[in-house]
Amino acid sequence: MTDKEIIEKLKTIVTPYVQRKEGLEDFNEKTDFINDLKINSANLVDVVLDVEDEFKIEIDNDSMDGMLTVGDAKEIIERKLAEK
Amino acid sequence: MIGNDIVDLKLAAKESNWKRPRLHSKIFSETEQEILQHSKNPEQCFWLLWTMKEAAYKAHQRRFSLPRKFNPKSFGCSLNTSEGSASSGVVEVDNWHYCITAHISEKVIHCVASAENPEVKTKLITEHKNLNRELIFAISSQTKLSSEDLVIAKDEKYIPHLFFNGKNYNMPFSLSHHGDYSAYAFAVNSLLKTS
Repeated sequence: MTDKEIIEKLKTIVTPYVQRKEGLEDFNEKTDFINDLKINSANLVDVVLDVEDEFKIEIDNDSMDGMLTVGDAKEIIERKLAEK
Repeated sequence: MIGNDIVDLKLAAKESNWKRPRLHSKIFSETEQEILQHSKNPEQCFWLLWTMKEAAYKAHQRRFSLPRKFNPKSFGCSLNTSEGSASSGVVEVDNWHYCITAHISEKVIHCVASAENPEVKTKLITEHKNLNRELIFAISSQTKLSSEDLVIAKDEKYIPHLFFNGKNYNMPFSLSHHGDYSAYAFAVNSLLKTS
């Protein structure tokens, strides 16, 4: 899976939780889930669970704690996919 | 040190499915999951534990100026007493402890986490008001500093600070907003020390 494909899938996953829709217009690795997209922290756990379902991976707590931006999530997904 | 967190229960029911499979094991320790299982009102208990973690996270991050992290499971909750609408408890993270005072109603839960025994002043606001302004007015009336000289701004870690005439006042405070509710909490004794 390419970087672009992962980021596209992430965009689809986060969209229902985004409270600041303008944040989706420029969706890139620097996009911050909480500050740019205003996803609430409880829904950030939903994002983690949706990512696990979509990519068939498990995100452990140590990986989850650094998942603040789209780029962070992409790197974690790539790492977990490589471990499979 | 202070942190607070608020949850509008009606909005939370819309935004989140608290019964979602795997959710509890992602955010709660086994002890916390047991508290939840034995609760008479598990939905309320779920959000109480969550706001406890969030409030303690904010206090802990501000206390040590920590980088942002998303690690709810690292914050271990225990509940002491529950009398009517007030609950108290403790949250532990990396051997640091935060005392919790929670106010619970059918509509909203507001949690305040504190360390080092601050004298906490807190207010729950139900109208749509600018929370920063409300806090500034409250501090202004406590200190007699002009509200026009007080500004709230966030640092690079997104922690808000209070500035008096451009100088950081180093006051522990916390702001939270969710749905129809917002609340501030600040340490009154920190004002006496610095003013």
